[in-house]
Amino acid sequence: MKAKKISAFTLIIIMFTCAACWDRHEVEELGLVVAMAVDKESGSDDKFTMTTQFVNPNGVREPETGFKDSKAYFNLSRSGESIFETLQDFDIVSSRIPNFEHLNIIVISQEAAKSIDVYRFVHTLLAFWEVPRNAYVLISESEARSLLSREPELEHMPAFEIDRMVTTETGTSKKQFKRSLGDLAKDFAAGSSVAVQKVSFEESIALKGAAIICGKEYKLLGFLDERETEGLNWLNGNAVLSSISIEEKESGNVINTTLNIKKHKIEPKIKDDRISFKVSIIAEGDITENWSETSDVMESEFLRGIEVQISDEMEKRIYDTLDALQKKFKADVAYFWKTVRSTDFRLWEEIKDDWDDIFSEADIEVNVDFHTRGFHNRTSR
Amino acid sequence: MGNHKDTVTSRQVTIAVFSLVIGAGILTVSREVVDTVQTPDAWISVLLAGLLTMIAGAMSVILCNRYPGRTIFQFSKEVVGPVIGTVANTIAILYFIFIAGFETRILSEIVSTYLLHRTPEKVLMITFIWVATYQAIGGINPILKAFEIYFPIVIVLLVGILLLSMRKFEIINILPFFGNGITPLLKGVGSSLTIYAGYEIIFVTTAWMEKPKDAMKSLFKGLILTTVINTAVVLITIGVMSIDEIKNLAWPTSSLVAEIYLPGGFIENYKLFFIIIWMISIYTTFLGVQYLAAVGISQNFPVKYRNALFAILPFIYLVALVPHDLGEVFIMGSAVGYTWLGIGLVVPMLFLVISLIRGNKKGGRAKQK
Repeated sequence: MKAKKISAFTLIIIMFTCAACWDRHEVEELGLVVAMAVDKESGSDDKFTMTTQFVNPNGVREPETGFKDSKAYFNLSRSGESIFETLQDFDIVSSRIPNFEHLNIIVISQEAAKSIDVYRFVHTLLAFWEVPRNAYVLISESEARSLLSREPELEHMPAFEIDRMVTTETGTSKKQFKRSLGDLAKDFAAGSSVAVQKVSFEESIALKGAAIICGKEYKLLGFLDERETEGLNWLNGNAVLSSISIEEKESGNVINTTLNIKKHKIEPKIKDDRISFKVSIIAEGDITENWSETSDVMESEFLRGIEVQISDEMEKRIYDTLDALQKKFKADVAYFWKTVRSTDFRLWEEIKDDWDDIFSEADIEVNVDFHTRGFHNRTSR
Repeated sequence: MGNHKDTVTSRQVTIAVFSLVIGAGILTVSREVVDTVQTPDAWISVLLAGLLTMIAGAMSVILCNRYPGRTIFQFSKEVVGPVIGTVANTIAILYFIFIAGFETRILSEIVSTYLLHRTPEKVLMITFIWVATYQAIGGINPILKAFEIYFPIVIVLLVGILLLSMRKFEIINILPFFGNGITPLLKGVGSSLTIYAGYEIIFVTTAWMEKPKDAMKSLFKGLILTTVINTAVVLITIGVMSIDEIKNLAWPTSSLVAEIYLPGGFIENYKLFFIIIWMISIYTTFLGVQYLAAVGISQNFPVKYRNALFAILPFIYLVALVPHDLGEVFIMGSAVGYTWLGIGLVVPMLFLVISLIRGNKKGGRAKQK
């Protein structure tokens, strides 16, 4: 009995003395990082500046008075040569422990993307367990950190504003389809070039066009403009409800339709070591704007004419995009290589190191088939 | 203890097979298989390995059914003689301790990577080992009951996570089939066989089954389930990640979970569910092998089950401390797998052949009497 009492007593003592929480983090003490900007340090080749955007919980919460008493975010910058070291150094300047689990947006400036190895950057970030694979990567035309300090109108903080813009897919295909850290890692691992969203600063933040990062040197090659980006999105089948305008042949009136890629297929043809591709795209849409005085959208002949014209226009734009990809950049960001790999694995293993050259010389035939389903609420004008 | 009079139902055997086979291996299997096969159809190797395991399992059950009511630790002496039998049993016991140590190490690696970064790994390991020991003291029945409780949780979360990751599945990533011929796939079978280690629990449970005739059926149910799960994990990981990226991932399955994204931000971090699943899977595997080691000792040497259980704890802990870094942990993982190829596949076949040759004489004698 005595022994039992003693052991119980000992256990209780142990319970109090040994209780510990090595990993205790109070939520209020964490500095949630939601966005990161990477700039090149001026006057130095290897050094770069990282800016992180922290959430300020006091600013997000709406006080009873109806006024925000402080900004919802605050930005901090550190410079360094090593990515991880720079991230850890935020402990020096931040009153809270930085936590990257909710990192949404990574903006890399044009200068930085041209000088640092983007793959090494992506790889190092992903090796850090806190960084999510779903954080989106953007390339900015101007200084990246200035994008994070512009007061947003609708959202609480710039990071959320950019994040909303990135993830919205409907409406236009003039911005490149979103690419996350994980997507970049996958493409770079396969030696593929990749097109990511380009962010620029006009009157407000704008996401239009695409930035092409080479799959060999992992550096920024250049930008696609809006039109070329549109072609690329169609090629990849990423267009969700965008729109296209044409001038009608006879009258020269503007006609606009919505556009939705229903089906897209890239077929490689391998013949005597020459690779050519056949791209077939089926798109669908409604006529939304018709400035023509004479025509009637109820007439199916008129609609058929429009269909042919729009198909031709789409083909033309896709050819323009392909021209830029093949001649200007020599970068297969439309993933033609995947179709080669999935058809002839052995051939792919042989040619994959020279793929960029083979791609730039490949013949590509594009076939677009556009259907109008009709029109919106009103018939003729 | 290790109560021999307790009976075991067929369903419990199925679940036990599942619980022991699904363990630490599934975390890294995609990388290991893709590294050997190097083609997008690497998942076929996993499927083939599952079928091979079923054949080995079927032979083991035939073997066990020839000696009803006795575990392999008891009848092995009769099959190959007392000396070789004892040696074989000792090797098996060491092997189970080895696995137990490996699972402990993997658990602490995962928990310290994803959950508790500053908690010393030794504390994690000791806590884990003690909790499992507390459960194992009761013998086979409480252990099987625990498996039955964890089984639905693991299955539901696992299938849920696999379905959610299907959003990013690209069929072009798993094509073509047999793109580089069948030879690399056969090479891959070798490295994917290792994740099927753990079905050995039937060597013990068959002896105490209510209906020993059902042993074969329960084993097959368990192995089919694990084959499907293993193949699905590898298939989906390849489909989402593509083979080139998998080679760069330390924990491919965990990265697969990190890819999950659902619009609306209902839940952002699915790693939590992943950690729950794998802590449970590793726990059940550990519990099983720890029990097998202790039972082996108690049936071979004059040691009680309970004492054996405590006696192996320091050894398990020492094994867990052997690897210096993550790379060595992975090497240890392959070592576990290849040892299993000997103990889990070759030995049962040898035993069965020897038993058939010797047993026929005996059967003859029995008839004469």
